[in-house]
Amino acid sequence: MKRLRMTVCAASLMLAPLSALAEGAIVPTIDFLTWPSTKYQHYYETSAYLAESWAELGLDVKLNPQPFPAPMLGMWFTDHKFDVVMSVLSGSSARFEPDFFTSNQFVSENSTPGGMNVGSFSNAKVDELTVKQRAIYDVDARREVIFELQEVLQDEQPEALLAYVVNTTAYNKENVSVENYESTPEGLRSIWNLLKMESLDGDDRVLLGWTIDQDSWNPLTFKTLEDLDRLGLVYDRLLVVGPSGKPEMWAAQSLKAVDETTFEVVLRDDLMFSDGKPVTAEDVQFTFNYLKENKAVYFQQYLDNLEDITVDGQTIRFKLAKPSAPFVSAALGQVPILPKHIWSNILEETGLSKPHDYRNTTIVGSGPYTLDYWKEGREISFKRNADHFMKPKADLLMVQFGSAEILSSALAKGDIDISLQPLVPTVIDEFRHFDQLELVQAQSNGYMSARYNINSEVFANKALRQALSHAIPRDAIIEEVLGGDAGPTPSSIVPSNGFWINPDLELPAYDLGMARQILTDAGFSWDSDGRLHFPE
Amino acid sequence: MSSFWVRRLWQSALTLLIMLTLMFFMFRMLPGDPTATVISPALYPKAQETLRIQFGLDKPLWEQYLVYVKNLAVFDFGLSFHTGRPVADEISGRLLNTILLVFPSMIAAYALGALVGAIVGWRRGSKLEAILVFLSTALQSAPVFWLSMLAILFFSIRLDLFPIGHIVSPGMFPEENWRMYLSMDFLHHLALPFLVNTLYQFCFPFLLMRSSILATVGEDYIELAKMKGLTDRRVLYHHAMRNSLLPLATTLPMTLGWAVAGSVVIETVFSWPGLGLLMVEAVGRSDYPVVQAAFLLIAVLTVVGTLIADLLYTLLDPRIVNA
Repeated sequence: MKRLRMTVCAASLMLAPLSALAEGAIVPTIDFLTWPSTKYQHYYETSAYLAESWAELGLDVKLNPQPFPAPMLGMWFTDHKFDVVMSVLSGSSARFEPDFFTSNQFVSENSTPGGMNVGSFSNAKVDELTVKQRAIYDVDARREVIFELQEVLQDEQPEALLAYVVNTTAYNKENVSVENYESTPEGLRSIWNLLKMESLDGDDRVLLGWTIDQDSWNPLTFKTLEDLDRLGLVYDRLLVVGPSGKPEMWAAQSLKAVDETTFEVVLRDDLMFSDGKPVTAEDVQFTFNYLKENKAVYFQQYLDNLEDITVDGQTIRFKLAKPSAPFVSAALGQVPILPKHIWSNILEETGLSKPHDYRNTTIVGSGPYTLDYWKEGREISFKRNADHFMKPKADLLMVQFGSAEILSSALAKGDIDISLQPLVPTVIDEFRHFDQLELVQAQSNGYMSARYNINSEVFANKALRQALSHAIPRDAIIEEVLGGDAGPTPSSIVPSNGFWINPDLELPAYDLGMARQILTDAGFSWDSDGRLHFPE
Repeated sequence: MSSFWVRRLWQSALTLLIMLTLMFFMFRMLPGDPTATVISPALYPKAQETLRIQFGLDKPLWEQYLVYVKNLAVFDFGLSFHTGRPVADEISGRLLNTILLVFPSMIAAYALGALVGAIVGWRRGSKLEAILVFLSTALQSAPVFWLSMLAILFFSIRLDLFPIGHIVSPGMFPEENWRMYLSMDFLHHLALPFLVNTLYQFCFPFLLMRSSILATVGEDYIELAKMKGLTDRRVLYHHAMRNSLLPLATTLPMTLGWAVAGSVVIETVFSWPGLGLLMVEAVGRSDYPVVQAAFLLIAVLTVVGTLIADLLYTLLDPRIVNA
């Protein structure tokens, strides 16, 4: 004991000369906006792990948990009231579009309230590459620029990348087969997997359990990705983002860029609406104009850029106000093609005062399924459209559950064939012992990060941000906090987005020694209390 | 109408007005921008603006309140923030399912509670009494979601006697008409939540009846009935029980609102598409118009139930009005 005390004394004596070097201003306390620990425990714990690691570098971090959604979302997206925020962004196939998690989050012009650049990050090279990649419609050529953009972002470290999330779901392989399951962010509920589902019990119908009901079938009023996914079953889209993140032709046969703001799409000629009328280029033209004019909640952000749309036979020509390659996935890849002969006179037909009030529960669409019926809070029945070029293999009956626990019991018992609901870790362990259940993983393309506010004097310092990239206890967070259902990522475009992630990027090592070295090299110093000081 | 009833009606109306005012402001007293819970600040700013106007959230709070009260006067409950549909449609679609689950089990609980309570009270000190009092208090104190889960685990999964939840088997009744409610399939699905709810509600009427019966033992009219040579049964059912029914008859209508509110948990566990499940979802996403309308409905049921209780009291015991 005595010896230990002596050693400590000696060590502090040795540190004493160091404190004399600490002449710059002390690095102020960092305000870390995070999630409430009761309801979002693993988000809170993640921020706590990170704060602890930063403390070892001499930073004073104050966790600031705020109730979610209000006021936390407002502080995060509108007022930017934080030095660093525990950012958790959810994934979806639409967000495979590489602009979403790169330029959209880090371009200077998006730092206004409500914009996605919540940290007011600003970098000339990022802005330049953003303009460049948005004007290239050839995916392979564009990918090169996206790769370069990711390199710049890795060097700049506008955020500390923590992990992407993995969801596990399961299906009953005695009742259903899903040949060549695709690990998309949506997992089993991705259209690419739904189309493959085949019933093995002879009734050609698959029972899928979920806890999320449809809110709206009206393309003008729906707000959520879950709603959009189900609209995508009954309506066709021009393109659909594929399992690897690359947009695939769907109702379109081909897509050709004419110049930076103009491109042409040729429509397939074998599409039929469920009322027997063919799908024409006029329907496509009508749809885009209609959604734009009526300010469709979900699509408004994409369609504001659409200037004009003209039609010639099966060819549709889109004219944009400014170059936007993301428009291809975001608009063409998401907008459902509506039948003009129905929507152009729904007000006369129904006597409603505005089309937003139309419930659209007897859907006329051309998609791979038709909406057979929807019983709110109970079930949604889809019948497969046997004439559709994607040839869906079974009818789908989505069954609504009040709680996730009961849903997993129903799957284990055999009442339903598939769980669309991600399973909790204890259930996953239990299900491994069930022979009839097949567990499948869905790698999300959403991710968790600590997003820096560049307006704070602490995080305006690039060397400090770079040093902190070596102070992320990733393994501990993934194993201890997230229960192993997560993975590390070197880029905000995560590994599941196979087509767009830059394969040359390496994960910064978790090495506090290296972090201290970077800080020392940049002129930072420590005082006798171990607190970090700015360079003089 | 006597002044007693005029006064009671006024009081009821005032109670409801205070109730709905409190509800309106309480939901909006969250820190920060109250609209942030409804319209995500992460949404495209122009889309946020469109929604704000659509739901009238761009106006000052007092103006929103006046509009709310004015619309209520003509039974317009507004639009759901979440689905954009009239709240009245959302609720009426669910109400019947809740009524079919809750009211029969309330009546069953009261009938059973009264009968068992009377018998047990009449045989004061029996072993059966001790067991039943313990059991019913234990059931009442156990969280109802836990009871429901246990019931599902044992009866649905282990014994496979009942379905795991829902109102009918998936895919059976796409039309959702009266045929559905008259089917065996519906009754089969109703059975387990009905039983759990009945057991859970059993305690209160049981204890109430037991203590009322205890109070009659030794009363003169009971002694007289016994001296007349009536059988023990006849004394119990015709004399003691009848007089002890009064508190029970008056508490039943008062607890109707409470019973509907209590359906929240049971409906969630049993995936029962009723008002309770709708309320859970609506609270979760701050859909104020739906939550307010549902709470108001419960308040109305409670207030009307209390009025009915008063009415019953005056019928059963006219001394109330004259006093």
